[in-house]
Amino acid sequence: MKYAWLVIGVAAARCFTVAIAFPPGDGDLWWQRWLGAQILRTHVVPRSLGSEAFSAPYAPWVPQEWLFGIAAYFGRSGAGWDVFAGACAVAAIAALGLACVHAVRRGASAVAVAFCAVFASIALFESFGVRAQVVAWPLLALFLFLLDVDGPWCYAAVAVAAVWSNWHASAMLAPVVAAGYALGSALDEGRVGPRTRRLAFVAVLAAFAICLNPFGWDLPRYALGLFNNPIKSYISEWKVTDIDDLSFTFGSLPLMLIAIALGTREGASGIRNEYRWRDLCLLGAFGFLALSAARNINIFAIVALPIVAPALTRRIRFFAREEPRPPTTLDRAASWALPAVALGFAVVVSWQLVGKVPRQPNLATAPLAALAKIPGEHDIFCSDFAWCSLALGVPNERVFLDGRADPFPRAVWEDFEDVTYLRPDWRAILERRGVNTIVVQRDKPLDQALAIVGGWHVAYADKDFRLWLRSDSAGHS
Amino acid sequence: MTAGAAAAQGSERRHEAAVPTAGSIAYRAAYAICALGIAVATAVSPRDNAGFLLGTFAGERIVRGHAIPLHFGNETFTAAGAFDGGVGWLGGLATYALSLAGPAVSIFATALAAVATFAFVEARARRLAGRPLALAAAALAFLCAISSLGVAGGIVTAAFVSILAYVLERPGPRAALVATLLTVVWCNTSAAGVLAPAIALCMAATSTFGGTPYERRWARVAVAGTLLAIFATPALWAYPALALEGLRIDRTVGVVPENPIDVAPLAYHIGFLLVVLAAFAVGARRGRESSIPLLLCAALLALANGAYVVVFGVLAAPILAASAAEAFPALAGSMTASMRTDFVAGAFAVVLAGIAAWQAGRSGAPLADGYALAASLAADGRSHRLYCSNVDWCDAALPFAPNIRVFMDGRIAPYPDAVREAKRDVAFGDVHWKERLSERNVDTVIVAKGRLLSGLVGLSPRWRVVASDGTALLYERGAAPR
Repeated sequence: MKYAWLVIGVAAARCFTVAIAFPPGDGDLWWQRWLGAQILRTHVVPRSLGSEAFSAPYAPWVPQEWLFGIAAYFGRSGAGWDVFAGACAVAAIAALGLACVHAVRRGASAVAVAFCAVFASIALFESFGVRAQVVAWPLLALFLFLLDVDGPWCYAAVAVAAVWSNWHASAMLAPVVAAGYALGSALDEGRVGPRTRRLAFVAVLAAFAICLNPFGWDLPRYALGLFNNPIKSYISEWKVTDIDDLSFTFGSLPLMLIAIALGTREGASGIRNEYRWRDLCLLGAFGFLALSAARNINIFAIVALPIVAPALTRRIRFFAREEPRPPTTLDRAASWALPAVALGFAVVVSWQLVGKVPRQPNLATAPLAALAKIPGEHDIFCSDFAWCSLALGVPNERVFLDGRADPFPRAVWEDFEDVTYLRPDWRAILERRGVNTIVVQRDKPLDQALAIVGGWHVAYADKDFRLWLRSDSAGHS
Repeated sequence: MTAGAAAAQGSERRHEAAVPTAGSIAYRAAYAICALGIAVATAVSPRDNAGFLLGTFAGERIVRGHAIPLHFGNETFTAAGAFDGGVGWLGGLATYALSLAGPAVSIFATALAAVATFAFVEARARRLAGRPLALAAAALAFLCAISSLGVAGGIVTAAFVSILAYVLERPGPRAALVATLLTVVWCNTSAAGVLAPAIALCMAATSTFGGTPYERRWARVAVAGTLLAIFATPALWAYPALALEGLRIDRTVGVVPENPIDVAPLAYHIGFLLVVLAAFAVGARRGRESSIPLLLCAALLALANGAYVVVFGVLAAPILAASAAEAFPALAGSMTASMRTDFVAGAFAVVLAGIAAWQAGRSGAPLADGYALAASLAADGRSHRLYCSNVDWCDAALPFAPNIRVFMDGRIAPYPDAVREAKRDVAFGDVHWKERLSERNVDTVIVAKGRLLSGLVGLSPRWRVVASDGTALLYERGAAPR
C-alpha cells in the first residue's frame, strides 16, 4: 500500500482543487439546493414536480438525491461550500483508498496496487465533481470490501446498502452484486457452503435495505426503469463509452485490458485464484456497464482495482510480492511518512483554494439574472436544459425542462429535441407549450433560427448567451 | 538449420499430424452447416453502399483510363488534384467487376470471403485448442462480424487478417513468403493492408517469447517481408501515411462516425462484449502470455473504429480458445471425440447464424436514401456543386463528374484539413455555415432529415427543397433575394 499513498495524495489534491474551485457546470447543484430547501421548509420529500415545471406539472418524481440536496443546501456558500465540496473530494478519495486497501487484503503487492491506483484515479477524474454519485463511490467500494469479509462483519454490507439508497439510486446495484457474488462463491467452493449462504442472505437483506428510504419500493423500481428509459439518449453521461473519453482510455481501459490479458483464474506458478468466479461475475457485470454508458467508467475502476492488482501480483514477476522480512526503520518511517506526505500535499493544495470565489463555468447565470429583473410571467425554454435549474424557485419563472430530467415525460423530451434540432414543427411546439422565453448559447443554430423567424426579440445578450423573449409576451413594451 | 531447430520442426509436424484435420463425419457436417449459416447471413446483410460505390467508381476510372489514377479528378471541387496514391485500386477493380456481374455474384463472392474467414479462424483455433473449441471460436468471431457481412463490407479485410494470422502462427520460410505475398495483394486491395506488418510484429513477439530460435528467425523475416510489402503499391512510400488515414482511426468526429456503437452496433453489443467477457474468464493462460500484444492491439483498434470489431474477433477468438483449452482440459480433450458434441456445436453455430442474420438484416435497413438523392441529381442535366451532410452519400454522385462535383466524399484521407473543418462547420450549423457554402459556390445540399443543418437550411429563404425521401432532403440554392 505504501506507494499507493503517493497516488492517493496526488488524486486528493486534484479532487480538492476541482471540488472547491471549479464547481460543476451542469446546473444539477442548483436544483439539488432548491430540493434541499423545499425539504427543510416543508419537512416532506416531494414526490412530484410542482407548478415550476409548466410542461409537466405534478408529474411523479423520485428525488433519489434528497439527502445530497439537503447537504447541498447547507453548503451553498462560504465555509459551508468549502466543507460540502471538500466532503465530496473526501468521498472520491475514500473510494480510491478503500479499493487499494481491498486489493492489499486480497494479496496484491504494493507496486501492483500503486500501478492500478494510477489508472483508477484517472478513471475517477473526468466524472468527479460535487455530485451525488460521487458519494456513492465509497459506499460501493465499502460494500464490495465487506462482501469479501469472511465472518459476521459481512452483514454490515446490508447497512451500507441502506445508507447508499438514501444518497443515490445506484444502490440498486447492491443486491445484484451480492447475488452475483453468492453465485460466484458457490462456483468457487464447488458447493453451497457457509460463505455462499451468508452472501445469499446478504443479497436478500440488501434487496430490502435499499427500500429503507423515503421512497420505499419506488427507488429500486425507478432504478430498474432507467435501463429502458428513452431520456438516456438526451443526456451525455449516458452515451455509450468510446475511446474519446479520457477517463476510459487512460483509466478504466488499461485496467480492462490487463483483466482481459490475465483473466481471473490462476497465477504464473499455478496458484489458484480463490476468488475466480466472484471476480468474473464482478468484472463481467461492471465491464458490461462500463462499455455501455460513460457514466459507469468510474465504478468499473473502483471494482476492477481490487481484482486486477492481485492478478498482476500473481502473474507478473515485476509486481510479485517481496519475500516477507522484518521491517526496517526505513520501512516503519515510510509507513507513516508516505500517508503524511500525501495528506499534507492534499491539505496544502486545498488550503490554497479555501475562500476563493467559485467560478461559474458555462452556466447561463447572467441571462437568467437579467430575466429576473424583467417583469411578467416567464415560461422558459433553455437550449441546455440544465441551465433552467437556476430558475427554480425564482418568482414568476417556470421552466420547460430542467436538470431534474428523470421525471419529465417522454413527450416533453421529444418536444425539447424537436426544438433544439429545429425540426419542422419546432415553432408550433413553442407556441403550443406556451414558451415565451428562450435562453440559448450565442450563434448556435436555435439562436440563428430565432433571429430569422421573427416574433422574438433579444432581451439580453453577452458574448456567450442570448435571452429571447416572445414579442407579444408580458414584459415587452 | 541446426539439429535443435530441425527436431523442433519435426515435433511440430508430428503435432500437426496428431491434430485431426477434418475429424469425423459429424464434424464435417457441422462445419458444412456453419458454412451454410454464414452464407445465409451474408445474403441477408445489407450492402455497404459507401464501400461499394467508391470501389466501383475507382474500378471504372481504371478501366476507362487504362491506368491507375493517383490523384483526385474533377469529381470534387475542393480537392481536385489531391494525391490519393490509387490506394485500394485492386479492390476497386474487383468491386467494379462484381458490380457488372450482378448482385447474386457479389453476394456469392462475399459469402466466400466470409466462409474463408471463419474457416481459417476455425483452423487456427483447432490446432491450438481442439475441435469443439475451434467451432466455438468461429462462432465468436462470427458474432464480431455480423455488422460486416454485407457486400463491400469489412469481411474481405477479415479474410486477409484471418489467413495472415493462420500463416504467421507457424513461422518458417514458406510462412514468411506467403505472408509477404499476401500483404502485397492486401495493400493493393485496401488501406487496411497497412495492418499486416503490425499483425506480423505482434505474432513475432509471440515467437520471441515462446518459440524456438528457428521460429524467431523466420518470424522476423516475415515482419521484414510484410513491412517491405506495404511499399509495393502505386503509392510507393506514401502508402503507409495514406492508408493509416484511410483506416479512419484518427477520430475525425463529425466527418464520419467511427465509434463502434455507430459503425457496428450489433457486432459491438454482442460479439465484442462476449469476447471481452470470455477474456475475463480465461485471459491469456500460462504459456499464452505472448499473445497478449496481439489481443490488446486488436481491442484498441476495434475501439478506435468500429469497422475493425470484426478484426478483433478474428484475431482474439483462437487465442481465447487456446486459453480455454488450457483452463478446461476436459473440454478440449474428451469432447473432441464426441460426435454428439460436434453436432451440438454445429447446431449452436447455426442458431447463432440465424439470429445474427435476422438481426443484421433488420439493423441495416434505411441506408440507400441519401445515396439515391445524390444519384438523382444527374437527371436534370445541369451542373451542380454538391454538399452532403453524410459524406458517403456523395459517393453516389462521383460517376456524374464533371456535371456534378462534390464538396467531400467518402475518400476522406486526401481532403485537406481546411475542407474537413468547413465540412464540420456546415454539418453542425456553425454561425458561418452559409459563408462556408457560398465561398465554394455550393448550390445543392443533401441533409439528413431532423438534424440541425436541415432546420437551418429550411429557414433560409435562398434554399428550397427539390426532393426528399425517407431520411434525407435535397435542397437547391436559388438566386439571391433582391
